[in-house]
Amino acid sequence: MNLTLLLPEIIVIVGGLAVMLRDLWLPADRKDGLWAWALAVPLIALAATFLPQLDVAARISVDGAMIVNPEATALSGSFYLDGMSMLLKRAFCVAAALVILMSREYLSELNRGQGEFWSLALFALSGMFFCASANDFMSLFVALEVVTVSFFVLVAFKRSSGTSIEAGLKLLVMGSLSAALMLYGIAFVYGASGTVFFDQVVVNGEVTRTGLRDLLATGQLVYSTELLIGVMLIFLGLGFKTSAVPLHVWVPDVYQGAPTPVTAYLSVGSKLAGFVLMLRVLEVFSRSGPMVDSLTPFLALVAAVTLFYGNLGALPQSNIKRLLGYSSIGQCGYILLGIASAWTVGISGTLFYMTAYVVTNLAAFAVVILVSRATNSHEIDDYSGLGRKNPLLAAALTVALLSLAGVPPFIGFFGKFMLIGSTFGSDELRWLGLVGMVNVVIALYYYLCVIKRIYMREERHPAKSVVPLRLKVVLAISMAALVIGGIAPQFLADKTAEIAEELQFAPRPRGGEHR
Amino acid sequence: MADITTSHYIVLSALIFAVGLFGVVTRKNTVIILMSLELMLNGTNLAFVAFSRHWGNLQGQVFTFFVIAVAAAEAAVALAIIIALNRVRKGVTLDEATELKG
Amino acid sequence: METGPLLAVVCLFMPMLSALLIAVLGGRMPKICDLIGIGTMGVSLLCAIVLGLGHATYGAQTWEFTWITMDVGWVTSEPLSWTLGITVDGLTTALLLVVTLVSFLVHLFSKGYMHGDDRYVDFYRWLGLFTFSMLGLILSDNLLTLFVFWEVMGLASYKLIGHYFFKQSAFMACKKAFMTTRVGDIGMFLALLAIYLYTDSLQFKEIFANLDMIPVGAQFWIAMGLFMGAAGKSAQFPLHIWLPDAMEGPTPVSALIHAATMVAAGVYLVGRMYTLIVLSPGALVIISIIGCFTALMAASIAFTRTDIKQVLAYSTVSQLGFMFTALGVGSNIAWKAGLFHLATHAMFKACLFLGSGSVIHGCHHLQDMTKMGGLRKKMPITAMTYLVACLAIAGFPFTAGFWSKDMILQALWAGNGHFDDVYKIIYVVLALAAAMTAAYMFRSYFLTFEGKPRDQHVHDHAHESPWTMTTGLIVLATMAIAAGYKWHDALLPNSPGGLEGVLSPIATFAKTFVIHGEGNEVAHHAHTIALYTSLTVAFGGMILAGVWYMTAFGVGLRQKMRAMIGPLYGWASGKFFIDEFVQMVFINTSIFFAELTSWIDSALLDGFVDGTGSVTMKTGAASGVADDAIVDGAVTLAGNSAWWGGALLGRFQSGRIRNYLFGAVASVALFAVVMLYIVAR
Repeated sequence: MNLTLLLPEIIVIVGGLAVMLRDLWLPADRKDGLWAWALAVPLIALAATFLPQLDVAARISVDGAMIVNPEATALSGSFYLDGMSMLLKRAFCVAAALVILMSREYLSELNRGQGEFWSLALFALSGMFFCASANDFMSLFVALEVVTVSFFVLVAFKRSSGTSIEAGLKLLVMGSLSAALMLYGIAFVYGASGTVFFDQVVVNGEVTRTGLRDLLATGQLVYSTELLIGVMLIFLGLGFKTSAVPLHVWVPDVYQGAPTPVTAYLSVGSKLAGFVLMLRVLEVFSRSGPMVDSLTPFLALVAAVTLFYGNLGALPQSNIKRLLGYSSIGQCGYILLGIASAWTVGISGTLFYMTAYVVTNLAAFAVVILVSRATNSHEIDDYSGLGRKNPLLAAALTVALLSLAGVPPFIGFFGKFMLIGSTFGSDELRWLGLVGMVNVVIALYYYLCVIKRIYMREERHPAKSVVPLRLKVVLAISMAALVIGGIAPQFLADKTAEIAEELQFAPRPRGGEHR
Repeated sequence: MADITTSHYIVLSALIFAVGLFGVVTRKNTVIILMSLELMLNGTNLAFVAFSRHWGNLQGQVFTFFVIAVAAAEAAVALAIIIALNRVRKGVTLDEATELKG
Repeated sequence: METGPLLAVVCLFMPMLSALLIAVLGGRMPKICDLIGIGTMGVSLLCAIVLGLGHATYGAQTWEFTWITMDVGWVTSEPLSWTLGITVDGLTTALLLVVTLVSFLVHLFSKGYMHGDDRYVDFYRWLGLFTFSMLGLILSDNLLTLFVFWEVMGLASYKLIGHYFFKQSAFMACKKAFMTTRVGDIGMFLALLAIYLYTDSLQFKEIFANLDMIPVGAQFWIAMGLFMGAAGKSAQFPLHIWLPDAMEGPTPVSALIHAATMVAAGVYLVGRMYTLIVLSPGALVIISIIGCFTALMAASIAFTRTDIKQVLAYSTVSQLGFMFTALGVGSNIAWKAGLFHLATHAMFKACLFLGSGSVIHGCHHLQDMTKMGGLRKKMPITAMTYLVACLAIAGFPFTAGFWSKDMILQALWAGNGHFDDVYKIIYVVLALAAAMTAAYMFRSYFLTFEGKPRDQHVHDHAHESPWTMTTGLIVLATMAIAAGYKWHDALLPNSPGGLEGVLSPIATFAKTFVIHGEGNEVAHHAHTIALYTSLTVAFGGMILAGVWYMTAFGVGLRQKMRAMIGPLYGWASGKFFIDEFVQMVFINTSIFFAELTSWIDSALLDGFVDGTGSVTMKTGAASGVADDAIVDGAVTLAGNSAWWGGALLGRFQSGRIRNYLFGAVASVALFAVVMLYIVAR
């Protein structure tokens, strides 16, 4: 048992409980200060991820083969700390911290249940942490449900608002359905293999527990239709979190109905948790060649449909949160491009894009929060004239949307470039790259429509937004990341390439050789 | 009477799962939909336990406990949301919640 | 980073800093935005001057950084790497000097001219961004960032020309400028793509090192594509139509855009890519012919304009034609002549524009020359500087324009060994255009400043402009003479030895490029002929204008000549109906197609969608199952219209959880079936 590895998780859980308890002791008029406590938790956890004790090699070489380093696992192998989980945990910390900074204004309006809100946000964060480190189906399922159930409550947090409750109910029903489907898929995989663990555990040279990765690698577990159906159901269930077709229908409704800071959190935290698990599961099953050959068209199909659904659906939208909801479906499609073409460049692009997506989307939502506080509306028409009214906010939203659209020199461009580029590695996925390119054009259209309103239309709402310091910090951090990441993407690109190497997707130049 | 093999359990679990799925799709009342979802989870649980016996390890059994715990948490939250919905919309059918669309 | 590139980077980012600072502070402190703009441009100008003075020490330098390197595995086995950078050589330095000087003076001039404008802050912000994009364009060491800055400049010019957007004409003008240059950009973009495909790079030095990888057939089309982009920005026939309309912008903007920056971008592009363009003699001669035609056409239109800024606008188009005519020859003298004329023209044309701005300001926003006259006594500084600039553009001996125009004619006469007869004809036509230039410029001078006041009211209220405006005039008038001396030999060398760096790969590849050395007989001969020609046309034009507009029988003479050339005058005064032609061919056609598609959209698609909708609603009332089946079916049909598809997806997103659940389950099942089918296959 190597509990040091769990330090960030422990910090977040203890922090969540502490905030909850602190809330009980605070008199009602002083609860406004609680946000600082909540903010401290992800920041401390972020600092903890940089501890040298957590810097353990994820793989070790035994007899020339790279295997999982037992030193990097904890909780009898259910918890695994590698480069990917580290990167994602840091991204989650940043996301949570930015969301907490954004939520403060919203909560003081609500005037109730501040402690619960902060601690639920932190528990969701702990769930995301465990998602990033999940190393078997049990921890995968439980971690995912920790995130999901926390979000049920957070989305429905504004009890007096019909739309918030409705959004909560929709998330709940769809979430439970997809959880049941995923669970059924896990049952199939368990039935076919007899194990829910990803890796075997070796004690003193003896295999004490079998793992899927090793069974697949050695050919003890062969490809079968049951196994494929199980894996497909698991991907569909994870697709619910990442807003992939077909379990994506909740996304626009929930994004629109949920309190905006929660939408922001949902759009990055919950989504990335789904993606990191997809990568983990895919990596396990990439040991089996036939499995990959079957999964690739499946994921490609999901990616293509998701891309079109999100980007076409966004075209007629008039509500900015709903637009961002559809856009989020579209962004999921891009990430799926990289996952579908699961080889090093694609995975590197996926991780790059996921990280970039955190700051980009949060920047957009921060502006949405500020504008709606002044105009009391989420209609895109009410963004008219923002360029004259609040030039800095307008500039921030423009940069965020351009980055989402993949316009250089912002960080989103490189992500899209790597993802679409990765599909050109194999002949059979080239069509998917073309689909991605077409969708870049479609997406550019609706993002530019918003930007056009910001700068080219006369203002409808005279109210100027007041930007509190906390949101200035959010915007400053995210803008800096967007621009610096666009001008000097090398650092992040190197990091993600290194992680992608470490993940050891089975090397396979599929369909013709790459030139 | 022939032995009851794992296959029998799996077919039964699939049937329970299907009944739950059918309920989810066809029912209007939110509470009944939640019950149907529970039914789906229980179908899965049965499959886990059956496979656990088939493979002779306890992983499936343990998984079942986790599923039950998670389902309880889900149900608790769900009931709270349904009560809140009842307060603002005066009803518990799913058609009460159709404001967010497009 | 070495000193040269460092100075260039400071020079480049100063205007950007100005735009940012004004964006941040402008709302709170509108009073200081002019100071920010002028101050930052002053620093830029200083950097450029230091660069220019130290050019001998700095030499040609580039500074580059690798934007990103990644192992993509699909293009080549090498990691894909994008390198961006800036390059500082003689050409860059020369243009930096010109751009920063004019931009600085325009910033200063605007303080007086735009005083009291409602959107004063906005104006300075866009001025900063505009200058930034121009400097970035010049400093780019690759076509990628050059193109990006090229487009940013298009946007900034759109905002600046449309500064008075509430005026219908200004609104139309900025749209026209943006759209017309976009037409040229299509060609440029295609050329860029082709260059990248053939040479695997967009960096100048890589392109020039790999020129032999471009097939001969493609060389012509790439050169033409680049020229198309250049023609859009630099207003060559038939894409010149935006420039006269762009006079709707504030006059300082006209001075900046039409003298030193945006229109110079096209000439710069051709000058920078000269190594590639000279590969194709056919492309060269076409560039020369179009340039010459533009020069003559615009000069003849300029005679018929009575608005002082319109005269200057057509004069700009005409002078740009001179530059392209020169660049189209393809020799070392021609290269230098075109870019040298670009620099000298920037000086005297900026002076003329700012002078006209001063007149317009002094006459309370009157632009019609027929109502002016005799303003010299009221505005002595403006009149003097305008006269000097007129002399320069007319090619009066020892002014800057004299030297550069002389060199253009010399280059044309010397030719390049291909199509020399054509170049001789061009020479004659261009000499005629030069004579016309002298005549119409002095026409505008005489009408504005000399003679008797034609509108006493205007004359009584006219006044000299404040020092912020006249300073620029004096500096530019001085430069209109001084720019012809010395400096250019250092920065724009035309001796074979000095060509190292900019044009060195030319000798390897070009069949057409001719280097006329010092003792070259042809060049010497051409020089003598060009000298006599340019003296003749300059004095001829000036005397003609003097006779026409300053003597008693000039009026009658004008009437007679006008009758003599008959319909030609009418055509010229109608701007040869090129605008109407473009309107008819391009704009009406696209409006027709837009209306057609709009009709199809409203009549057919909406009807279909509405029909589907009502069917959906009826069936949906009976059961949610049919609802989704129909809409789902329709969704699959909706490949042809994105919007239509989006609206249908919206219908699928009915808001009903039960539909969602059914849809989810059905599509999961569908996915499973499709996948199993694919796998089983």
